[in-house]
Amino acid sequence: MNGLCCCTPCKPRYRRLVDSIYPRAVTDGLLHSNMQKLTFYAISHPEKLERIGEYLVMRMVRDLSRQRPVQVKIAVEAMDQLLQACHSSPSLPQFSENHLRMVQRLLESNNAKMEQLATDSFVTFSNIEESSPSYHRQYDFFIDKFSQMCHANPQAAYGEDFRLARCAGLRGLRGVVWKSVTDDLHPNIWEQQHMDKIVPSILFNLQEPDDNGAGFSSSHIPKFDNTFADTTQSHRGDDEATPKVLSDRCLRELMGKASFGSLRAVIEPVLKHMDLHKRWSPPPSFAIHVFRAIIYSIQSQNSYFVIQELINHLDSMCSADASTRIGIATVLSSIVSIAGTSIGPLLLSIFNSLLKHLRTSVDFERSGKCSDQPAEKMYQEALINAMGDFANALPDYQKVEMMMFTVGNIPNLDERKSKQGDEFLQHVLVKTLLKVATKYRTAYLATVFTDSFLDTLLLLALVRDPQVRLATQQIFHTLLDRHDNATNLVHLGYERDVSDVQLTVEKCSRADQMFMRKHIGEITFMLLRAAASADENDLNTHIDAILCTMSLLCIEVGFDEVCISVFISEVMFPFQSLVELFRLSLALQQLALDTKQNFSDAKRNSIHNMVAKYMNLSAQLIANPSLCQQVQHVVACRAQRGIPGLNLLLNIKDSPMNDDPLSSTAVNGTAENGSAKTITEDDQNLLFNLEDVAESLKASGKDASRLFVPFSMNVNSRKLDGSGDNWQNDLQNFDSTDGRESPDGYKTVGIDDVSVDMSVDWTPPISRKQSRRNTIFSIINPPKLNASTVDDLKAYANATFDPIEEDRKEKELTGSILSEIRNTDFEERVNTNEALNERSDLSKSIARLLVRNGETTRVRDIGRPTKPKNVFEIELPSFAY
Amino acid sequence: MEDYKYLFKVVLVGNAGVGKTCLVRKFTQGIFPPGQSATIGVDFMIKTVKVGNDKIKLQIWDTAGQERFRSITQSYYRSAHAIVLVYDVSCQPSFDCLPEWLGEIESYANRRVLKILVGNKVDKGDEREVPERIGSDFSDVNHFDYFLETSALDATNVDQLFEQVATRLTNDMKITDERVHQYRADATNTSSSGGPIKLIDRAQTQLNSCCSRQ
Repeated sequence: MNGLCCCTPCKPRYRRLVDSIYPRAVTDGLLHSNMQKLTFYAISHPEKLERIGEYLVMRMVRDLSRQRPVQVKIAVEAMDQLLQACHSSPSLPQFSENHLRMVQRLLESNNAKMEQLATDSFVTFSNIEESSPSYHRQYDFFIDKFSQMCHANPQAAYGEDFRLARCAGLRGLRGVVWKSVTDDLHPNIWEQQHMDKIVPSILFNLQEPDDNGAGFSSSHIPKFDNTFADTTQSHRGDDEATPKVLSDRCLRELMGKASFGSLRAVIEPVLKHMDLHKRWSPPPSFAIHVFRAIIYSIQSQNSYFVIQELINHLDSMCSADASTRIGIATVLSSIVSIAGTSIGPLLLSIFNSLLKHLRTSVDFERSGKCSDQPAEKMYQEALINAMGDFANALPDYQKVEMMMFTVGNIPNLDERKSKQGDEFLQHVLVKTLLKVATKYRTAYLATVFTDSFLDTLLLLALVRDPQVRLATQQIFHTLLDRHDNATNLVHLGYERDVSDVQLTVEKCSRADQMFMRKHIGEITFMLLRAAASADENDLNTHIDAILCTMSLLCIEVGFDEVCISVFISEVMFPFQSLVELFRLSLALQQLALDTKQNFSDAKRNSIHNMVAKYMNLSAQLIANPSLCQQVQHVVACRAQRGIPGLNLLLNIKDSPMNDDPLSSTAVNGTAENGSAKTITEDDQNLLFNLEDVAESLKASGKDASRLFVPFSMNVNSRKLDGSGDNWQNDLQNFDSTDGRESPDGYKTVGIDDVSVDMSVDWTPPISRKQSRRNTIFSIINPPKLNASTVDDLKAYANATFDPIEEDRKEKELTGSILSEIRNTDFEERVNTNEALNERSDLSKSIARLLVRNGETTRVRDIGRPTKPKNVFEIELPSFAY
Repeated sequence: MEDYKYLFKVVLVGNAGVGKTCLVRKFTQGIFPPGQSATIGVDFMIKTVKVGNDKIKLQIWDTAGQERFRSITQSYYRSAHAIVLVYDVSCQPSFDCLPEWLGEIESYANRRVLKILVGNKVDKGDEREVPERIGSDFSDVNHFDYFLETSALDATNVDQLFEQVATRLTNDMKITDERVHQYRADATNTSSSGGPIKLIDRAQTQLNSCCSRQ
């Protein structure tokens, strides 16, 4: 064909038409009128379209090799126009083959201008939707070449125009993706081999300005825009002017088009790129940017997959440099919140693997092989943050689930068995828990404080590690605080007018009241012990934390507690939160006075202060004037007495002594005239008087009888509740052992004892003792409910429950049992019991009789060969039965 | 229509700074670029050579040696017809890395890819650290198809290298082509020679049987 040399009239018509579009003068452009003729011919003779294309390409190749760029440009323009005009022509597939060949030839030319031309032409082509599929078309070369163009650099053939080349490469890649995605028969674009080129090319351009530094954005762009304007076509906006912007768009587009099945192929090159280009090392801003873009672009139901991939990557990098891991964890934490609720199905597995990593890291740090402990710590922080952010993105019920899960992962709280590493893990996990808890907004206390969760928290509040104890108090703060009062209460001072603190108070719901009534005993008991074991080194923080918990309890559930008159609830939950809290305060005061305790004066003083502060707050909250007066009186007396550590009327925050209680006592000792450094039991007017407090409470309609129950009774009553035989130790017991075991200066007083007692499950199966008692009482003392009519019953049910009376009855009962045991003869008691047992438990007594019979007969039957009688004897009771 | 008989993809790999880009430039453009900076990602050159009477087009993909571009360079291995592994004779570490590169080639490239080992920079006579014999031994042991030492600076063996690549690939391709032709020819022969005769035979036998019956 090439060799055919014929004069113009002999040429076929399509050739003549093609020839006519080239101008005579090199300076002129495409002859538009002739181009229109050609287009018309091509449309009206679709069968000729392929030949036209062939001929055009042939001329173009010839011009290209002869270095005639104007003619090449004309050929490309003509091809483009024909392509657009004939997009519905039946012979389009053949024509587009020719077109692609042209593009390829142009791309192979190694000429930046020609490559530009080729890219534009290819983008035009990629915008055309073909009606018929093209099975055998391959874009391999285009992907290769466009990827190469994305890496254009000034040193190679591109010189100053390398950014243009990069843009062209990116647009070309985008064109390939467009073309392949719209065409169902080209799913292979998502194959690993292609994505391995496309994704790194895009990412390379996205990170590029970082390489060039700040100079890039300011100095180069204007010039760049000018050159760009020459070749630009109308569809390219200025916003795509830089490779960075364009690549960002490409990335989002690519991710948006990826289906679930192809996500892996896209994400893996991203991870690999980050590895190879060291983009994880903190601050991993680039990685965060990329993954944010990914999460925002992909279909939201798939976002969990990205997170999973990241975690898997973290798995595979677990032996890598800490900085890499920190980076990955940081990226994770910054994207989980976006992924949000779509994580659902993999919630626990993701959370579990994060916890696993945390544990591995802790082990690694502990193992001593870790060379960079601070980095490892940072990694743990990053993981904890990730978990916190993760929790933040979840709905509330899943947060609760996560908290349970975390609690479940806390290693054995039994301190006897715990190892050093466990303690540390405890520390980390409690931090995690705190993080998660802060993201949770409590609606109902009962939903978050499930039994096991609360139990674990109560245990955690008393472990050996003071940091853990503090963190646990903080968990209580954040979970109890529903009205954002905690910030005001964290360092609560002595406020003459509590309204200055600006607390938000709201009536608490019935469900919460019920919950609190059930658990306030455990909580107050925990608080008492926590105060007893408050770390002397960081006294103020600990005591403040406990005070904060108390105040929050008071605000959230205590302050306007109505007296629940329902009989049942009174029986089940005999505690009123508010009264219990007062009781706790008085017990704390007692604790501070207790000379058996190995407390420093500073600690005693700060407990006294805490009690005063709490009393003040709650008295004002419940608006009880007489109580307020008492508090003011006591505080004033203390101030007068001039024990500096106790003078709340001084501005607490300004007083250096109070900031550092240890030194304050030291100062006291020398500065003061040798007077008492703390309150003793004799200073009655410096203390809150039990009777007075009770009186005031009664005056305001509260039932103050519980106040008179000393705190150790709490433990006993717990026993009655069936909470277990494991609560044998009361406070006295705990105190005395403490005094014996703790040498001077041992800061964490009595913790060992506490932990021993607490280590056992709190809800044991029904204790035998209790069941025995129940059977006995049920017989001896039938319930004194002698209501014969419904009205009587109603009256009985509506009658206000009197705890004093109940206590009295209880004591009476105990007394009677004791006296019975003391006074009556043993034989007699055995007999009566026997009788009772026989009456109540017939089957058991029969069994016992059988055994006894069996033994006697066996003794009798020794030596007898046959024992026919036995059969009758054994069977006899069964008749009776 | 196409003005070449075969198109081959040649990928150059090797440590950073062994002179891959210079080799390619010398071959395609006849220049030795002084002060060539590190390649970014991958570079592309095309050159048409003649093997016998056939025009052969070589697509030469010149990859970056730097570690950070490993993921993109690896992706080019797969479709390559020939891989040229380059080391620097004056740089022992670049030679020591060869097994690592071989591993990469094995895991990413086509199994039947043409492997060629090249020791570059032979012009640095005094500074040579890897003797030629060591290089050729290594190439023998690891089943390279070809080994030679080149210098992009003074053009020693540069053209020969790519000619060898083109010749070997062409020969391989021709053998494959012939085999395909042979196969096709066989297939057509059997069908063209067997078909009609059988039909005639069959007709004959049928006729015979009919006749015999009558």
